[in-house]
Amino acid sequence: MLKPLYIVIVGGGNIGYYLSKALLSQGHEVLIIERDIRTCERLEDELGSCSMRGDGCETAVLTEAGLNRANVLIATTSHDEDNLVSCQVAKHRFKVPRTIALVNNPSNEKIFKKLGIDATISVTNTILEHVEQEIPAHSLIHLLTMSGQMEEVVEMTITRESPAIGKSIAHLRLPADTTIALLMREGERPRIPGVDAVLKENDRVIVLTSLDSERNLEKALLG
Amino acid sequence: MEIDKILVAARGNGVDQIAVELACKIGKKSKAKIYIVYVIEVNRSLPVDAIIKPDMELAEKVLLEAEEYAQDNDFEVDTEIIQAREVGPAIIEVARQNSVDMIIMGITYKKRFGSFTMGNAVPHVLEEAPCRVLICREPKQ
Amino acid sequence: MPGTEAIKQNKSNIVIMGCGRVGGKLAAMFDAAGHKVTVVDLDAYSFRRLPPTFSGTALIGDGTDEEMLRKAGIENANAFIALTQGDNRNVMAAQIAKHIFEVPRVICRIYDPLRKDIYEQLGLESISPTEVFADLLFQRLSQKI
Repeated sequence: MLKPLYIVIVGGGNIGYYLSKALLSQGHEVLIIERDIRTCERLEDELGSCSMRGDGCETAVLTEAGLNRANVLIATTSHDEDNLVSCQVAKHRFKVPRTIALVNNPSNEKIFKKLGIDATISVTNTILEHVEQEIPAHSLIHLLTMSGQMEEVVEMTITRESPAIGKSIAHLRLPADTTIALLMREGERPRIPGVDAVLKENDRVIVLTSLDSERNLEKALLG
Repeated sequence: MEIDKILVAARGNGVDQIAVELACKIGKKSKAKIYIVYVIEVNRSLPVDAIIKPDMELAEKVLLEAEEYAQDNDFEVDTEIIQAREVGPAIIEVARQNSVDMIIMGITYKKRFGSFTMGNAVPHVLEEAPCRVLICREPKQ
Repeated sequence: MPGTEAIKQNKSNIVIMGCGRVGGKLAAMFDAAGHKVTVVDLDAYSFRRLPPTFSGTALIGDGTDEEMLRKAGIENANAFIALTQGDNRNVMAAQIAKHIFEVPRVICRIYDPLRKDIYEQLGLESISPTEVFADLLFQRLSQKI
Protein backbone atom coordinates (compact mmCIF):
# COMPACT_ATOMS: atom_id res chain seq x y z
CA MET A 1 0.00 0.00 0.00
CA LEU A 2 1.01 3.59 -0.52
CA LYS A 3 2.01 5.67 2.46
CA PRO A 4 -1.17 6.32 4.45
CA LEU A 5 -2.35 9.90 4.13
CA TYR A 6 -4.19 12.16 6.52
CA ILE A 7 -7.28 13.24 4.62
CA VAL A 8 -9.73 15.81 5.93
CA ILE A 9 -13.19 15.78 4.40
CA VAL A 10 -15.52 18.74 4.83
CA GLY A 11 -19.16 17.72 4.74
CA GLY A 12 -20.57 14.45 6.05
CA GLY A 13 -23.37 13.97 3.55
CA ASN A 14 -23.58 10.92 1.35
CA ILE A 15 -20.49 11.76 -0.64
CA GLY A 16 -18.43 12.54 2.46
CA TYR A 17 -19.62 9.41 4.20
CA TYR A 18 -18.98 6.91 1.44
CA LEU A 19 -15.73 8.58 0.49
CA SER A 20 -14.52 8.28 4.09
CA LYS A 21 -15.53 4.68 4.25
CA ALA A 22 -13.57 3.88 1.11
CA LEU A 23 -10.51 5.86 2.21
CA LEU A 24 -10.55 4.27 5.66
CA SER A 25 -10.67 0.82 4.15
CA GLN A 26 -7.59 1.75 2.09
CA GLY A 27 -5.81 2.44 5.36
CA HIS A 28 -5.81 6.23 5.30
CA GLU A 29 -6.47 8.40 8.30
CA VAL A 30 -9.69 10.31 7.75
CA LEU A 31 -11.47 13.09 9.58
CA ILE A 32 -14.87 14.40 8.54
CA ILE A 33 -15.85 17.91 9.58
CA GLU A 34 -19.60 18.28 9.69
CA ARG A 35 -21.77 21.16 10.89
CA ASP A 36 -24.88 19.21 11.82
CA ILE A 37 -24.76 17.47 15.19
CA ARG A 38 -27.17 14.70 14.20
CA THR A 39 -25.17 13.84 11.11
CA CYS A 40 -22.05 13.84 13.30
CA GLU A 41 -23.60 11.35 15.69
CA ARG A 42 -24.60 9.11 12.82
CA LEU A 43 -21.06 9.25 11.40
CA GLU A 44 -19.65 8.43 14.81
CA ASP A 45 -21.91 5.40 15.08
CA GLU A 46 -21.00 4.14 11.65
CA LEU A 47 -17.34 5.01 11.36
CA GLY A 48 -16.01 5.52 14.89
CA SER A 49 -13.99 8.49 16.09
CA CYS A 50 -13.36 10.06 12.75
CA SER A 51 -15.70 12.99 12.70
CA MET A 52 -15.72 16.38 14.27
CA ARG A 53 -18.50 18.88 14.62
CA GLY A 54 -17.83 22.32 13.25
CA ASP A 55 -17.71 24.70 10.33
CA GLY A 56 -15.09 23.51 7.88
CA CYS A 57 -14.38 27.08 6.77
CA GLU A 58 -13.41 28.34 10.20
CA THR A 59 -9.75 28.63 11.02
CA ALA A 60 -10.25 27.55 14.64
CA VAL A 61 -12.06 24.38 13.61
CA LEU A 62 -9.50 23.55 10.98
CA THR A 63 -6.69 24.11 13.48
CA GLU A 64 -8.34 21.69 15.88
CA ALA A 65 -8.71 19.25 13.02
CA GLY A 66 -4.92 19.27 12.69
CA LEU A 67 -5.00 20.61 9.16
CA ASN A 68 -1.34 21.54 9.51
CA ARG A 69 -0.42 17.90 8.93
CA ALA A 70 -3.17 17.03 6.45
CA ASN A 71 -2.06 15.78 3.05
CA VAL A 72 -5.39 16.33 1.34
CA LEU A 73 -8.55 18.34 1.99
CA ILE A 74 -11.70 17.36 0.14
CA ALA A 75 -14.70 19.70 0.34
CA THR A 76 -17.92 17.85 -0.41
CA THR A 77 -20.76 20.08 0.80
CA SER A 78 -23.67 20.99 -1.40
CA HIS A 79 -22.65 24.66 -1.37
CA ASP A 80 -19.99 25.64 -3.85
CA GLU A 81 -19.03 28.80 -1.96
CA ASP A 82 -18.35 26.79 1.19
CA ASN A 83 -16.29 24.25 -0.73
CA LEU A 84 -14.29 27.04 -2.31
CA VAL A 85 -13.54 28.76 0.99
CA SER A 86 -12.63 25.51 2.78
CA CYS A 87 -10.16 24.68 0.05
CA GLN A 88 -8.68 28.18 -0.09
CA VAL A 89 -8.28 28.44 3.68
CA ALA A 90 -6.71 24.96 3.72
CA LYS A 91 -4.33 25.88 0.97
CA HIS A 92 -3.27 29.33 2.04
CA ARG A 93 -3.54 29.25 5.81
CA PHE A 94 -2.54 25.63 6.43
CA LYS A 95 -0.49 24.89 3.31
CA VAL A 96 -2.35 21.67 2.62
CA PRO A 97 -0.61 20.22 -0.45
CA ARG A 98 -3.73 19.07 -2.25
CA THR A 99 -7.24 20.50 -2.17
CA ILE A 100 -10.17 18.96 -3.98
CA ALA A 101 -13.59 20.55 -4.28
CA LEU A 102 -16.92 19.17 -5.26
CA VAL A 103 -18.52 21.56 -7.73
CA ASN A 104 -22.29 21.50 -7.68
CA ASN A 105 -22.77 24.06 -10.39
CA PRO A 106 -20.68 22.87 -13.35
CA SER A 107 -20.00 26.41 -14.52
CA ASN A 108 -17.99 26.95 -11.33
CA GLU A 109 -15.39 24.37 -12.33
CA LYS A 110 -13.45 26.83 -14.43
CA ILE A 111 -13.68 29.50 -11.73
CA PHE A 112 -12.42 27.18 -9.00
CA LYS A 113 -9.44 26.17 -11.10
CA LYS A 114 -8.62 29.80 -11.74
CA LEU A 115 -8.87 30.51 -8.01
CA GLY A 116 -6.24 27.88 -7.26
CA ILE A 117 -8.16 24.76 -6.26
CA ASP A 118 -6.03 21.76 -7.26
CA ALA A 119 -8.84 19.56 -8.48
CA THR A 120 -12.55 19.91 -8.96
CA ILE A 121 -15.19 17.28 -9.37
CA SER A 122 -18.43 18.14 -11.06
CA VAL A 123 -21.08 15.45 -10.99
CA THR A 124 -22.76 16.91 -14.04
CA ASN A 125 -19.58 16.97 -16.09
CA THR A 126 -18.55 13.51 -14.94
CA ILE A 127 -21.85 12.07 -16.11
CA LEU A 128 -21.60 14.01 -19.35
CA GLU A 129 -18.17 12.58 -20.06
CA HIS A 130 -19.59 9.11 -19.67
CA VAL A 131 -22.50 9.85 -21.93
CA GLU A 132 -20.13 11.15 -24.56
CA GLN A 133 -18.01 8.03 -24.29
CA GLU A 134 -20.97 5.71 -24.66
CA ILE A 135 -22.57 7.43 -27.59
CA PRO A 136 -20.41 8.15 -30.65
CA ALA A 137 -20.42 11.65 -32.03
CA HIS A 138 -23.82 12.51 -33.39
CA SER A 139 -23.90 10.91 -36.79
CA LEU A 140 -26.99 12.71 -37.83
CA ILE A 141 -28.17 16.12 -36.84
CA HIS A 142 -31.85 16.86 -37.13
CA LEU A 143 -32.33 20.24 -38.72
CA LEU A 144 -35.99 20.40 -39.51
CA THR A 145 -39.09 18.27 -39.45
CA MET A 146 -41.66 19.17 -42.05
CA SER A 147 -44.85 19.88 -40.25
CA GLY A 148 -47.64 17.39 -40.78
CA GLN A 149 -45.46 15.06 -42.84
CA MET A 150 -43.02 12.32 -42.07
CA GLU A 151 -40.26 14.11 -43.92
CA GLU A 152 -37.28 15.74 -42.33
CA VAL A 153 -34.06 17.47 -43.09
CA VAL A 154 -30.86 16.20 -41.50
CA GLU A 155 -27.20 17.05 -41.68
CA MET A 156 -24.44 14.43 -41.80
CA THR A 157 -20.66 14.45 -42.04
CA ILE A 158 -18.83 11.82 -44.03
CA THR A 159 -16.36 10.21 -41.64
CA ARG A 160 -13.11 8.46 -42.49
CA GLU A 161 -14.69 5.02 -42.17
CA SER A 162 -17.63 5.88 -44.37
CA PRO A 163 -18.33 3.32 -47.13
CA ALA A 164 -19.60 6.20 -49.28
CA ILE A 165 -16.14 7.69 -49.80
CA GLY A 166 -15.09 7.53 -53.41
CA LYS A 167 -18.55 6.55 -54.61
CA SER A 168 -20.84 8.64 -56.75
CA ILE A 169 -24.26 9.44 -55.36
CA ALA A 170 -25.86 7.24 -58.02
CA HIS A 171 -23.97 4.26 -56.63
CA LEU A 172 -24.95 4.83 -53.01
CA ARG A 173 -27.70 2.57 -51.78
CA LEU A 174 -29.87 5.38 -50.55
CA PRO A 175 -33.45 4.73 -49.49
CA ALA A 176 -35.95 5.58 -52.21
CA ASP A 177 -37.45 8.56 -50.41
CA THR A 178 -34.07 10.13 -49.64
CA THR A 179 -32.30 12.85 -51.55
CA ILE A 180 -28.99 14.51 -50.93
CA ALA A 181 -30.01 18.12 -51.27
CA LEU A 182 -26.81 19.96 -50.61
CA LEU A 183 -23.11 19.13 -50.57
CA MET A 184 -20.73 21.25 -48.51
CA ARG A 185 -17.02 20.78 -49.01
CA GLU A 186 -14.19 22.75 -47.47
CA GLY A 187 -12.94 25.46 -49.82
CA GLU A 188 -15.93 25.14 -52.13
CA ARG A 189 -19.30 26.79 -52.31
CA PRO A 190 -22.16 24.58 -51.15
CA ARG A 191 -23.83 23.05 -54.19
CA ILE A 192 -26.64 20.77 -55.21
CA PRO A 193 -24.82 17.59 -56.16
CA GLY A 194 -25.60 15.71 -59.33
CA VAL A 195 -25.92 11.92 -59.35
CA ASP A 196 -22.31 11.65 -60.53
CA ALA A 197 -20.88 13.68 -57.65
CA VAL A 198 -18.29 11.66 -55.69
CA LEU A 199 -18.20 11.95 -51.90
CA LYS A 200 -15.01 12.63 -49.94
CA GLU A 201 -14.03 12.44 -46.32
CA ASN A 202 -15.25 15.41 -44.24
CA ASP A 203 -17.93 16.33 -46.77
CA ARG A 204 -21.05 17.60 -45.11
CA VAL A 205 -24.39 16.88 -46.68
CA ILE A 206 -27.89 18.11 -46.06
CA VAL A 207 -30.30 15.28 -46.73
CA LEU A 208 -34.02 15.20 -47.25
CA THR A 209 -35.32 11.95 -45.80
CA SER A 210 -38.04 10.40 -43.67
CA LEU A 211 -38.11 9.14 -40.14
CA ASP A 212 -38.44 5.56 -41.41
CA SER A 213 -35.42 5.80 -43.68
CA GLU A 214 -33.05 7.35 -41.19
CA ARG A 215 -31.37 4.08 -40.31
CA ASN A 216 -30.80 3.00 -43.88
CA LEU A 217 -29.47 6.43 -44.70
CA GLU A 218 -26.95 6.18 -41.87
CA LYS A 219 -25.95 2.73 -43.13
CA ALA A 220 -25.40 3.98 -46.66
CA LEU A 221 -23.38 7.05 -45.70
CA LEU A 222 -21.65 6.03 -42.49
CA GLY A 223 -21.62 2.24 -42.51
CA MET B 1 -24.23 -10.75 40.30
CA GLU B 2 -20.98 -12.36 39.19
CA ILE B 3 -18.18 -9.87 38.65
CA ASP B 4 -15.05 -11.52 37.31
CA LYS B 5 -13.49 -8.72 35.34
CA ILE B 6 -13.46 -5.07 36.30
CA LEU B 7 -12.15 -2.24 34.15
CA VAL B 8 -10.92 0.88 35.90
CA ALA B 9 -10.60 3.80 33.53
CA ALA B 10 -7.90 5.92 35.15
CA ARG B 11 -7.96 9.58 34.23
CA GLY B 12 -5.07 11.01 36.19
CA ASN B 13 -7.49 13.28 37.97
CA GLY B 14 -6.92 12.34 41.60
CA VAL B 15 -10.04 10.21 41.83
CA ASP B 16 -8.30 7.20 40.32
CA GLN B 17 -7.17 5.95 43.71
CA ILE B 18 -10.78 5.83 44.92
CA ALA B 19 -11.84 4.07 41.75
CA VAL B 20 -9.21 1.36 42.24
CA GLU B 21 -10.19 0.94 45.89
CA LEU B 22 -13.79 0.49 44.81
CA ALA B 23 -12.77 -2.09 42.24
CA CYS B 24 -10.91 -4.03 44.91
CA LYS B 25 -13.85 -3.96 47.26
CA ILE B 26 -16.34 -5.05 44.62
CA GLY B 27 -14.08 -7.73 43.20
CA LYS B 28 -12.90 -9.16 46.47
CA LYS B 29 -15.39 -11.96 46.84
CA SER B 30 -15.15 -13.21 43.28
CA LYS B 31 -11.38 -12.66 43.09
CA ALA B 32 -11.96 -10.55 40.01
CA LYS B 33 -9.27 -9.65 37.57
CA ILE B 34 -8.72 -5.89 37.43
CA TYR B 35 -7.87 -4.11 34.20
CA ILE B 36 -6.59 -0.59 34.59
CA VAL B 37 -6.49 1.46 31.43
CA TYR B 38 -5.31 4.99 30.84
CA VAL B 39 -6.37 6.70 27.62
CA ILE B 40 -4.19 9.48 26.26
CA GLU B 41 -6.32 11.75 24.15
CA VAL B 42 -4.22 12.81 21.15
CA ASN B 43 -4.96 16.10 19.49
CA ARG B 44 -5.72 15.87 15.77
CA SER B 45 -2.72 18.00 14.97
CA LEU B 46 -0.59 14.96 15.80
CA PRO B 47 -0.74 11.41 14.47
CA VAL B 48 -2.57 9.15 16.87
CA ASP B 49 0.61 7.21 17.63
CA ALA B 50 2.68 10.31 18.36
CA ILE B 51 4.84 10.12 21.46
CA ILE B 52 3.74 12.80 23.89
CA LYS B 53 6.23 12.62 26.72
CA PRO B 54 4.43 14.45 29.55
CA ASP B 55 1.19 12.56 28.93
CA MET B 56 3.03 9.29 28.77
CA GLU B 57 4.88 10.01 32.02
CA LEU B 58 1.65 10.90 33.82
CA ALA B 59 -0.05 7.78 32.46
CA GLU B 60 2.80 5.57 33.61
CA LYS B 61 2.81 7.14 37.06
CA VAL B 62 -0.96 6.80 37.49
CA LEU B 63 -0.98 3.21 36.32
CA LEU B 64 1.96 2.25 38.48
CA GLU B 65 0.29 3.58 41.63
CA ALA B 66 -2.98 1.88 40.81
CA GLU B 67 -1.29 -1.38 39.94
CA GLU B 68 0.68 -1.41 43.19
CA TYR B 69 -2.42 -0.82 45.25
CA ALA B 70 -4.35 -3.62 43.56
CA GLN B 71 -1.41 -6.04 43.74
CA ASP B 72 -0.95 -5.28 47.44
CA ASN B 73 -4.53 -6.41 47.83
CA ASP B 74 -3.79 -9.66 46.00
CA PHE B 75 -5.53 -8.94 42.75
CA GLU B 76 -4.49 -10.05 39.34
CA VAL B 77 -3.89 -6.78 37.49
CA ASP B 78 -3.48 -5.86 33.87
CA THR B 79 -2.57 -2.30 32.89
CA GLU B 80 -2.61 -0.65 29.52
CA ILE B 81 -1.97 2.77 28.01
CA ILE B 82 -3.99 3.57 24.92
CA GLN B 83 -3.71 6.54 22.57
CA ALA B 84 -6.94 7.63 20.94
CA ARG B 85 -8.74 10.65 19.58
CA GLU B 86 -11.48 10.38 22.19
CA VAL B 87 -11.46 8.78 25.61
CA GLY B 88 -15.03 7.43 25.69
CA PRO B 89 -14.96 5.18 22.62
CA ALA B 90 -11.51 3.91 23.58
CA ILE B 91 -12.76 2.79 27.01
CA ILE B 92 -15.72 1.04 25.41
CA GLU B 93 -13.37 -0.70 23.01
CA VAL B 94 -11.21 -2.07 25.82
CA ALA B 95 -14.28 -3.13 27.79
CA ARG B 96 -15.54 -5.07 24.77
CA GLN B 97 -12.20 -6.67 23.95
CA ASN B 98 -11.81 -8.01 27.47
CA SER B 99 -15.52 -8.71 28.04
CA VAL B 100 -15.44 -6.96 31.40
CA ASP B 101 -18.42 -7.10 33.74
CA MET B 102 -18.07 -3.59 35.06
CA ILE B 103 -16.41 -0.29 34.26
CA ILE B 104 -15.45 2.02 37.12
CA MET B 105 -14.56 5.65 36.53
CA GLY B 106 -13.75 8.44 38.94
CA ILE B 107 -14.67 12.02 38.15
CA THR B 108 -13.90 15.36 39.72
CA TYR B 109 -16.52 17.97 40.50
CA LYS B 110 -16.17 20.32 37.56
CA LYS B 111 -18.11 23.28 36.28
CA ARG B 112 -18.08 24.56 32.76
CA PHE B 113 -19.79 27.80 31.76
CA GLY B 114 -21.37 27.86 35.21
CA SER B 115 -22.96 24.41 35.03
CA PHE B 116 -21.84 21.06 36.40
CA THR B 117 -20.26 18.89 33.73
CA MET B 118 -19.01 15.34 33.50
CA GLY B 119 -17.03 16.02 30.33
CA ASN B 120 -17.47 13.89 27.23
CA ALA B 121 -16.05 10.55 28.23
CA VAL B 122 -18.35 9.66 31.15
CA PRO B 123 -21.65 10.30 29.34
CA HIS B 124 -20.33 8.33 26.37
CA VAL B 125 -19.41 5.37 28.55
CA LEU B 126 -22.74 5.54 30.36
CA GLU B 127 -24.55 5.50 27.07
CA GLU B 128 -22.51 2.89 25.23
CA ALA B 129 -21.02 0.47 27.74
CA PRO B 130 -22.13 -3.15 27.24
CA CYS B 131 -21.69 -3.79 30.98
CA ARG B 132 -22.41 -2.17 34.34
CA VAL B 133 -20.89 1.24 34.93
CA LEU B 134 -19.98 2.71 38.27
CA ILE B 135 -19.13 6.39 38.45
CA CYS B 136 -17.52 7.79 41.57
CA ARG B 137 -17.51 11.56 41.95
CA GLU B 138 -15.25 13.30 44.42
CA PRO B 139 -17.08 15.31 47.10
CA LYS B 140 -18.30 18.77 46.18
CA GLN B 141 -16.35 21.40 48.05
CA MET C 1 -6.55 52.49 -4.91
CA PRO C 2 -7.42 51.90 -8.54
CA GLY C 3 -10.93 52.88 -9.40
CA THR C 4 -11.32 55.40 -6.61
CA GLU C 5 -10.91 58.37 -8.89
CA ALA C 6 -13.48 57.07 -11.30
CA ILE C 7 -16.06 56.68 -8.57
CA LYS C 8 -15.44 60.17 -7.27
CA GLN C 9 -15.59 62.06 -10.52
CA ASN C 10 -17.50 60.34 -13.25
CA LYS C 11 -20.65 58.36 -13.40
CA SER C 12 -19.58 54.87 -12.51
CA ASN C 13 -21.18 51.49 -12.93
CA ILE C 14 -21.56 49.87 -9.55
CA VAL C 15 -22.77 46.34 -8.91
CA ILE C 16 -23.90 45.51 -5.38
CA MET C 17 -24.60 41.94 -4.34
CA GLY C 18 -26.98 41.66 -1.41
CA CYS C 19 -29.76 44.15 -0.76
CA GLY C 20 -29.85 44.00 3.01
CA ARG C 21 -29.77 47.10 5.20
CA VAL C 22 -26.22 48.00 4.22
CA GLY C 23 -26.59 46.96 0.58
CA GLY C 24 -29.86 48.81 0.18
CA LYS C 25 -28.53 51.96 1.81
CA LEU C 26 -25.30 51.93 -0.19
CA ALA C 27 -27.26 51.42 -3.42
CA ALA C 28 -29.47 54.37 -2.56
CA MET C 29 -26.45 56.56 -1.75
CA PHE C 30 -24.63 55.83 -5.00
CA ASP C 31 -27.86 56.21 -6.93
CA ALA C 32 -28.51 59.60 -5.35
CA ALA C 33 -24.95 60.62 -6.22
CA GLY C 34 -25.76 59.98 -9.86
CA HIS C 35 -24.04 56.66 -10.48
CA LYS C 36 -25.46 53.70 -12.34
CA VAL C 37 -26.26 51.10 -9.73
CA THR C 38 -27.31 47.47 -10.12
CA VAL C 39 -28.34 45.50 -7.03
CA VAL C 40 -28.56 41.71 -7.07
CA ASP C 41 -30.37 39.73 -4.40
CA LEU C 42 -31.83 36.23 -4.19
CA ASP C 43 -34.96 37.52 -2.54
CA ALA C 44 -37.22 40.06 -4.24
CA TYR C 45 -38.62 41.09 -0.87
CA SER C 46 -35.30 42.64 0.11
CA PHE C 47 -35.68 45.26 -2.61
CA ARG C 48 -38.30 46.96 -0.43
CA ARG C 49 -35.32 48.58 1.26
CA LEU C 50 -34.56 50.60 -1.84
CA PRO C 51 -36.09 54.09 -1.72
CA PRO C 52 -38.91 54.93 -4.17
CA THR C 53 -36.56 57.37 -5.86
CA PHE C 54 -34.07 54.60 -6.72
CA SER C 55 -33.40 54.79 -10.45
CA GLY C 56 -30.95 51.91 -10.73
CA THR C 57 -31.58 48.27 -11.58
CA ALA C 58 -32.67 45.59 -9.11
CA LEU C 59 -32.20 41.99 -10.23
CA ILE C 60 -33.30 38.77 -8.59
CA GLY C 61 -30.51 36.24 -8.81
CA ASP C 62 -27.45 34.59 -7.36
CA GLY C 63 -24.39 36.82 -7.33
CA THR C 64 -22.04 33.86 -7.16
CA ASP C 65 -23.30 32.79 -10.57
CA GLU C 66 -21.14 33.96 -13.43
CA GLU C 67 -24.08 34.32 -15.81
CA MET C 68 -26.04 36.35 -13.32
CA LEU C 69 -23.13 38.69 -12.81
CA ARG C 70 -22.92 39.17 -16.55
CA LYS C 71 -26.59 40.06 -16.60
CA ALA C 72 -25.93 42.56 -13.85
CA GLY C 73 -23.40 44.24 -16.12
CA ILE C 74 -20.28 43.14 -14.28
CA GLU C 75 -18.25 43.34 -17.49
CA ASN C 76 -18.59 47.11 -17.53
CA ALA C 77 -18.59 47.64 -13.79
CA ASN C 78 -16.11 49.99 -12.15
CA ALA C 79 -16.83 48.58 -8.72
CA PHE C 80 -18.32 45.46 -7.18
CA ILE C 81 -19.34 45.16 -3.55
CA ALA C 82 -20.32 41.83 -1.96
CA LEU C 83 -22.72 42.35 0.95
CA THR C 84 -24.75 39.19 1.47
CA GLN C 85 -25.15 37.58 4.89
CA GLY C 86 -22.83 34.72 3.93
CA ASP C 87 -19.09 35.31 4.23
CA ASN C 88 -18.36 32.52 1.80
CA ARG C 89 -20.84 33.75 -0.77
CA ASN C 90 -19.24 37.19 -0.57
CA VAL C 91 -15.77 35.77 -0.88
CA MET C 92 -16.69 33.70 -3.90
CA ALA C 93 -18.56 36.47 -5.73
CA ALA C 94 -15.84 39.00 -5.00
CA GLN C 95 -13.16 36.67 -6.35
CA ILE C 96 -15.16 36.04 -9.50
CA ALA C 97 -15.55 39.80 -9.96
CA LYS C 98 -11.86 40.40 -9.36
CA HIS C 99 -10.20 37.47 -11.09
CA ILE C 100 -12.63 36.48 -13.82
CA PHE C 101 -14.15 39.83 -14.76
CA GLU C 102 -11.25 41.98 -13.60
CA VAL C 103 -13.46 44.64 -12.06
CA PRO C 104 -11.12 47.50 -11.07
CA ARG C 105 -12.41 47.87 -7.52
CA VAL C 106 -13.85 45.00 -5.52
CA ILE C 107 -14.77 45.14 -1.84
CA CYS C 108 -15.96 42.17 0.15
CA ARG C 109 -17.68 42.03 3.52
CA ILE C 110 -16.39 39.20 5.72
CA TYR C 111 -17.86 38.99 9.23
CA ASP C 112 -15.31 36.45 10.47
CA PRO C 113 -12.12 38.42 11.24
CA LEU C 114 -9.87 35.38 10.81
CA ARG C 115 -11.30 34.64 7.40
CA LYS C 116 -10.96 38.31 6.53
CA ASP C 117 -7.24 38.22 7.36
CA ILE C 118 -6.71 35.26 5.06
CA TYR C 119 -8.45 36.90 2.11
CA GLU C 120 -6.76 40.25 2.72
CA GLN C 121 -3.47 38.38 2.43
CA LEU C 122 -4.72 36.92 -0.83
CA GLY C 123 -5.23 40.45 -2.09
CA LEU C 124 -8.97 40.75 -1.71
CA GLU C 125 -9.99 44.10 -0.25
CA SER C 126 -12.21 43.11 2.67
CA ILE C 127 -13.96 44.70 5.61
CA SER C 128 -15.01 42.86 8.75
CA PRO C 129 -17.98 44.66 10.35
CA THR C 130 -17.28 42.61 13.46
CA GLU C 131 -13.86 44.17 13.84
CA VAL C 132 -14.93 47.63 12.82
CA PHE C 133 -17.85 47.76 15.23
CA ALA C 134 -16.00 46.21 18.15
CA ASP C 135 -13.15 48.69 17.61
CA LEU C 136 -15.58 51.57 17.47
CA LEU C 137 -17.29 50.57 20.70
CA PHE C 138 -13.99 49.97 22.42
CA GLN C 139 -12.63 53.37 21.40
CA ARG C 140 -15.74 55.23 22.43
CA LEU C 141 -15.91 53.59 25.80
CA SER C 142 -12.19 54.03 26.35
CA GLN C 143 -12.49 57.79 25.74
CA LYS C 144 -15.42 58.36 28.08
CA ILE C 145 -14.17 56.30 30.98
